[in-house]
Amino acid sequence: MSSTSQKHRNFVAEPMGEKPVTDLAGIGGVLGERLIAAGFDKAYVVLGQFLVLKKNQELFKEWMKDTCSANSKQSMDCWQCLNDWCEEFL
Amino acid sequence: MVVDVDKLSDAELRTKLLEFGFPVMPITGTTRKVMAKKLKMLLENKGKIGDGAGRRSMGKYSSEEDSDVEIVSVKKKENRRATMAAPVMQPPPPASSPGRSRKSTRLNDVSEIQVRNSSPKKELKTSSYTSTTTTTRTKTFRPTQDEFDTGSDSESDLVTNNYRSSPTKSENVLGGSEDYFTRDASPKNLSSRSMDISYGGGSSQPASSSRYNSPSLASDYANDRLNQIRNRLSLGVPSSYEKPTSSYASTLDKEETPFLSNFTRRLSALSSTQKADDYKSDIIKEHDTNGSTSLYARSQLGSYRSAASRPAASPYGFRVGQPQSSSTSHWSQGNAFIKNNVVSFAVLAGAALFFIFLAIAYLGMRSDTSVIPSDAVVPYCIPHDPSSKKGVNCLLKEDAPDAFNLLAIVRRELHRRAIDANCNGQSYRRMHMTEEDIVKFCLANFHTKVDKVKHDLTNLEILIFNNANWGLTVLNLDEDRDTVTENDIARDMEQVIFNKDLKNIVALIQLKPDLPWTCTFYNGIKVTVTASLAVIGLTAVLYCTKWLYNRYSQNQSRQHKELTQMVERILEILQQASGLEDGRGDEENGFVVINHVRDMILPVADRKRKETLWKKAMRFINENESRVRTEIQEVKGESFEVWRWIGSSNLSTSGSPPGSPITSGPASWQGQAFETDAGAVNSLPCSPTTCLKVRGITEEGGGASKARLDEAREAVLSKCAHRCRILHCQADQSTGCVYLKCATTGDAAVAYRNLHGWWYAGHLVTVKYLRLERYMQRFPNSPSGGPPFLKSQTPAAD
Repeated sequence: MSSTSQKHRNFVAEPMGEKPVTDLAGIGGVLGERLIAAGFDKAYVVLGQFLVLKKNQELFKEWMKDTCSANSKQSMDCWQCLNDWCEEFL
Repeated sequence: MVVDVDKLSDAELRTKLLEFGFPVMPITGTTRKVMAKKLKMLLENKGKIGDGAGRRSMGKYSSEEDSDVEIVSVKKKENRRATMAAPVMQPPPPASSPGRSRKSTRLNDVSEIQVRNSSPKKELKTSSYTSTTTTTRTKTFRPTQDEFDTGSDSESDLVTNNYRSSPTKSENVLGGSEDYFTRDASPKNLSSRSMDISYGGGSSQPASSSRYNSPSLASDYANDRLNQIRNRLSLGVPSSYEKPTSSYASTLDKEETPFLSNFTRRLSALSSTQKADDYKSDIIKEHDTNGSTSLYARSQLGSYRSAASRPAASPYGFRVGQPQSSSTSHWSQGNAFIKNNVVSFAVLAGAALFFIFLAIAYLGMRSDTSVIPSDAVVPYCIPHDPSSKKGVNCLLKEDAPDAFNLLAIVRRELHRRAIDANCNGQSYRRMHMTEEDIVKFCLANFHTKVDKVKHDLTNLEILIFNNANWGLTVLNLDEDRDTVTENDIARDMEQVIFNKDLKNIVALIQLKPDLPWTCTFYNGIKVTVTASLAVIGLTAVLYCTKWLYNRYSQNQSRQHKELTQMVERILEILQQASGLEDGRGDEENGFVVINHVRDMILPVADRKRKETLWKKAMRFINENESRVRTEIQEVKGESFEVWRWIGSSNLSTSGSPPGSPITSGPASWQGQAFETDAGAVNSLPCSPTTCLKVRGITEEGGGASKARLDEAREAVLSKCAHRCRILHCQADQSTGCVYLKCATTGDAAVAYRNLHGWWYAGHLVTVKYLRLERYMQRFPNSPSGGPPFLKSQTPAAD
């Protein structure tokens, strides 16, 4: 990860509060809808799953693939985003 | 071994993952799927490669083995007992059943050998062993573990105390193993258990004692095999098959103890029998412990089978007692090596056979050219058939072998000649053989007659016409020569016979010989080298041509330049001469002798060398210079050809037109570009203001130096200051313009006319009227009235 997206920087810049799940890096409209359909409507719910999986990148990516059929890059972006947020605020 | 991961409970899933050394995380509804997938992946991977987790859990066992090996080599009974108990005391649960513990000690005996023999095999064995332990663990027999432990302890005590094998003790021993069986306590086994007891108490003892000294190793072995196969085939084993199992278990216990106590005394006598029993009981126990450990059993069987088939002189016991003896180890090492690499050897042998076959086939193909081909078309004469004419289109059956013999000889010779001609560079040798040649050749080398050879040759020619695939061709030559062409090829036998009648020569040739590869190679190289040489030569020629052309064109342009320079110098000299004469006002003598011009231009040394150039220049001037006239004048009493300059002197041939900038020499007013007098198109009828802005004196854009500005100001003043009254004149650095303020509008009009539309130093000067307030804005200190008026130091003449 040489550079991060604007979305990533925006998310990592502040506490997530009540941000919707689509504010996560790597989660666009389509993935967001799938996640909401699976019950993950807020970013903090995804964060909870992220933490339950103990920040394990492999498992989290696997979970993303299962839940919303995210591809490798999307899930990697999302994981990176949450990981960076945790380093900053947790 | 196959576990349905999806049906495991959350807790089981966790436990399993933990076994693989995977970080434990909460199994929730959302994570369950991921974790299950992970576990599946781990399970799959484990079978293929030694999994990290498996290795870790195996560490304990391997260390245990090591200690066992050491202890066994010491041959101390107490130590032996300790080791027997040791696996039971070990924390890892897999070794928690008595059967297991015994097995592990036996296993160690075996593995001691195998450690030395082949470590890969040991790894395989241990890994499969681990897999059985994992499945055993999941069956949660932990509650029964204590029972097994005690069973094991008591059993080992019994064994050591009563190794003389009284019937009652043996029953106890059996009881120990019966305890062990309760673990699997399925309803089916319950009935078999009771049978086991009765069997063990009654009949197993004599049986085992008889087997004790039984030399019939083979029958035992066969029996074991049978049991093994049965056990392997059926997981739900019928109770009748379980019986021998338990008896073997007791046998093991009994025989193990003599082995321990009277090790050195009974070693040789016991070894073979004991070995077979051990092996058998090991397998069966393993099988009992877990229904799915056939892998272990099989691998064990494999190793035992090889051991059992050995002569009895190298028993296991001996090896256990004296690990230093290495002859058997060598033997089994070699055996293992061959066994391990059986597939590789088979592949290697297959490849070798294949290539040998290929080589033979290839050689056969090659040699085929020199023997009589079986697929030859032989037109035999049919008796009483009018269409078959002997010697023309058919031959007699009895003549055919001779013709083929001749063919073999002739073909070999032709092939040799063809190779000679094509490869060895002996092109003078001809490739074909005339009939005469063939006859001579045959007579020289074989004991035949001329008529016979000729007869066979005719038949051979018929055969050749019928067998085009031989590569031989019949030629009709009208004279004896070395080279042959396409036209010489005979079409059919009748033509040949006809030509023979005409005394022409018939010859045989191999047109497309099968050349050896070296020859083909050399020919190829020759062709390649020739072709590349030709290409290189062509490239060189092209390059040379280009280079020469470049040289030529360079030379031409240089000569042209020299010519132009010379003509210019001549014209210069002529102009100077005419100008000089003009100054003196003597029109008649304004010419120069041509030879003098040459002498002036060319130095003495160059005169000879540059004569052609000079002549060219002369011709150029005579033909192309209209301002020079060639005439004959008498100079000092001698007639010379002279050049006279008849053009105007102020127009220089190489000089710039009036409009071009003059960089050197004093800047001056050079004349008027257009009319600016009153009434002209370019002049205003009356001047609106008294102020003027003069452009074009200096270069546009400003930034001129102070000296240049002063010069411009002086130029403007010199042009008009003596004609009108000028109050103020200033050159501005930023714009490069000269600003002028006159006393009256009339003066401004005069200044305008004298400046506007004039050439100054190659620039056209333009003047605009400027409003007074603008002027005052720019120059607030300019005087508003005069005198004094500005004057120029050197007023211009015009």
